[in-house]
Amino acid sequence: MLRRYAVFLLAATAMLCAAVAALWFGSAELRLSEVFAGLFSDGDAKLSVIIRHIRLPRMLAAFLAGIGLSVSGVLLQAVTDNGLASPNIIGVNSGAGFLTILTLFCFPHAFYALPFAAFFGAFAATLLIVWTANRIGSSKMTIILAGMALTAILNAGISFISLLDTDVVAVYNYFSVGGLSGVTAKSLIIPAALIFLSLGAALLLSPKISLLCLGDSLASSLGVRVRLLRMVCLICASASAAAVVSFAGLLGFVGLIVPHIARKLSGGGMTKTLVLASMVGATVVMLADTLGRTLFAPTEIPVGIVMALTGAPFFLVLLLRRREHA
Amino acid sequence: MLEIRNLCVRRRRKEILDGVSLTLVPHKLTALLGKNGCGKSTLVSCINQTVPYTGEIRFSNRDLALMPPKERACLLSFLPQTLPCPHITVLELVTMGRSPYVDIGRRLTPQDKEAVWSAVCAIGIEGFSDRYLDELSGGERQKAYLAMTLAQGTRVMIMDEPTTYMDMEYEHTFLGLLNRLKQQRKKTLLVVMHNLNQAVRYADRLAVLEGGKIVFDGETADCIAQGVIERVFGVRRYAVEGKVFFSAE
Repeated sequence: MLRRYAVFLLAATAMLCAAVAALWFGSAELRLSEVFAGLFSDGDAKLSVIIRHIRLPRMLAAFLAGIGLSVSGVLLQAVTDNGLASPNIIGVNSGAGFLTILTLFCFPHAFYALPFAAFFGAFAATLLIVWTANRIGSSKMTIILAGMALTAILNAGISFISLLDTDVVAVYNYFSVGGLSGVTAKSLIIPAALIFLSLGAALLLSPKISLLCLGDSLASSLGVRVRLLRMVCLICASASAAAVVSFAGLLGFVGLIVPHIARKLSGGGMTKTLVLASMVGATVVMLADTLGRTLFAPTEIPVGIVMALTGAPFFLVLLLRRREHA
Repeated sequence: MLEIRNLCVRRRRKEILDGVSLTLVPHKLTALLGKNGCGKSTLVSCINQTVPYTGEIRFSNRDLALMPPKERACLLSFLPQTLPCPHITVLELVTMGRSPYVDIGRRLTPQDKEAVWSAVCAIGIEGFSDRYLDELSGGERQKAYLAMTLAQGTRVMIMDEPTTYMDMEYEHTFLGLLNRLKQQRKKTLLVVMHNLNQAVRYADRLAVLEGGKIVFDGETADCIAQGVIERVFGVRRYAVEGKVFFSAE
């Protein structure tokens, strides 16, 4: 009992520390007291601008990106019963990428439309996969296979447009790496609503979702409408990840790794895993973004690159440890 | 009680089940027998509503296909042949048996918790209730799943070859447990079985499937007397100390 609460307390403390670090460290060196002064008082206009208009929105963006992608990953790994599932298997990355590059190709100066294009591309790709899988039978495997097939088609489309118009490649590359620079607080309102709605729905449905680990026939015998639940989870996962893609681009590894860490910490149980994944995901992205901003300051490394550089080795260590246990 | 009328399942132009009719007698253990590929698992999957079929499956005169899944789960529990072993504790698994009674956003009531612990005690798995399912032996895991279906609190329990991966001793213990559930908790059981000797020993009634058709449905003694098992399975019958055995030789 004590250990269970200790884990939550530790995760919450880590998240708080990461949030403070995200506000504290950056290209302008500040004291901790100045961070709080910038947050809560209007005395110093320069401090206010740095903290309230630059670092706070960015910290919030990292916080939301971590929650959104982790929740999406937990849901996807549960409904497909596959530890390698992440938002890209339901076409989130390829759908967002395709519509973004298509928008850039058709309207080269419509940068304001890119977050919308990313969101709708990601969401539409998932709906197409859900519809295809539903037509075939909506089993765990058909979702993965339909996702792979659609991803291949959309990636081919991205490559084709890149060949037709090389000017769009630079902008697309920044989007595909994933970064949080230039995020404004206003642009986070709709994504935040979608992410928290998805998290709320996932928490509400978590007792039913956890039954999916028993297999379709047992879950069905326990009164679960398996196909419907799977579809609802896919849509929540997609909405959450698509919301993140709309302001952060294609951030990799969070949706894949964080659910594993959360499961390890929670010791099982869908509700506990979802809550812990949200906290761990937010912590990881906030830390990765802070590292990216400060390691080679004033040059900034996009958070996507930091995540891939630190996340991939961590994932390999996780796999090796699992093998040792086996 | 559960009544199956003229059930047909067709797959790739082949009749898997061809006009199956079967009625479960309350508080009896009915063993469903048949050679490999005769449609036993398909029949129980139809009852679980996971395989499309034509015909009717009725429970207390209500069509199961038209019943909401949650309501069906309060009347009928199902244990499939292959059981997954997720990383959850035995107690968490048994608690999942109460999920048909717990609405979205609600917590387990004291009655639910009591039903869970009562199922754990009835199956005798108190000793490893806090252990993870993926750390247990096959037999222990099977008992944990049986406790889960018991916690579901249904009148009818359907099991698809529950003793497949068990050694003889564990199989005997497991079937003894089913017998106890039938007598003490008034359960009606339909169990797909592959071991003919255990079937004639433990089942009150036998339903024999051959080529997608029910060729016998009745008391175990009548089935033995009519020589149905010898004819369908191509085995020979022996009687030793008043007990009946079947052997391929």
